Amino acid sequence: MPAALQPHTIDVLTNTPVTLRVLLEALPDDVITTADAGGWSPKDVVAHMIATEASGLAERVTAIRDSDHPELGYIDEQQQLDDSGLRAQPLATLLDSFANSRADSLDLILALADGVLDRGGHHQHVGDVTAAELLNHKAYHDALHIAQIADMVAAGLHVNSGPMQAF
Amino acid sequence: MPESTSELRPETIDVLANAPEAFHSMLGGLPASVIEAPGEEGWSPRDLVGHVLTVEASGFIDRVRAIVEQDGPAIENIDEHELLAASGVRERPLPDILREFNDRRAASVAYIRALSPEQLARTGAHSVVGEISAADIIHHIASHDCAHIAHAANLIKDGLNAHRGPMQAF
Repeated sequence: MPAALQPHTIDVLTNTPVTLRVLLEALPDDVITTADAGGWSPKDVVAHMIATEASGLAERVTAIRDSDHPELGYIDEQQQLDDSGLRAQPLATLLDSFANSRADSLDLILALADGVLDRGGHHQHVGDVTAAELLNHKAYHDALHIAQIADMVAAGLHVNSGPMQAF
Repeated sequence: MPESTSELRPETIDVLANAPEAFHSMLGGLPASVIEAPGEEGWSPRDLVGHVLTVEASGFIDRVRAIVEQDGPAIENIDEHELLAASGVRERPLPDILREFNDRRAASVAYIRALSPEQLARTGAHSVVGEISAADIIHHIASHDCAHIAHAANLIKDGLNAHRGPMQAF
């Protein structure tokens, strides 16, 4: 049985651009451009979220809305980010772009007719997936990357807390 | 034991000042079923905000004030779980907790901003880890804020995981 849209999925999707701005906007360049062990900096994470907003969310939901069980291609997120050119943009531009892209996605989602969320497509790697599952996934993905960014900021402060690093 | 710090990293004050808004923007509008659902270790997103509120005085600004205003004061360890349990804050509505955290943090940040480099370098004697500076405590609380923002985000993430259908593969 496919999963239903969760009661807080839309709220999480709505809140994320503001949360990213609050977390990152005032931080110095050396914090927002320092990569973690995985190779991405906080700025890269925001660029990644923009890069996947259309192809990973809006375009898939649109295809499910407009087609009968469409094919949903796999996205190589690292390749997509590298090809996007977004990593070279300033953080302020990225935060504005993400807020605008997310607002467009929410307009699309909130205008879906009854029943569209239960319709699905065929994902190239994992099989049948519904629009509701894609939206829950995107909210999960938002929360994952907010946690990743907060952990990266924490790490730079933790190593400067002297003996308090024991806690 | 790592050496004490005597200067603040440039992002420290902004992280401290923005933490209440970060919690508010992330958790605002979410249903009680999410806000009050504990993770495996027993704390819910609301409990995390309650925790950062309850350590604001005894774990942060009271310690910094003691170091600035006394000579080498003793800094007692605190039991964070005991402090939260005894505070009664877990029973309060999230908007109420967020409002108090916002107000208390604004006062703490105003005090920190006014400290001189010499005051930031002053030290006290922590009952567990030994000599610590005011700057160590301030960095620790800013890091602690971020760790619990990440913790709250992870609780939201974990609650959504089972509802992603086959996208759980990613």
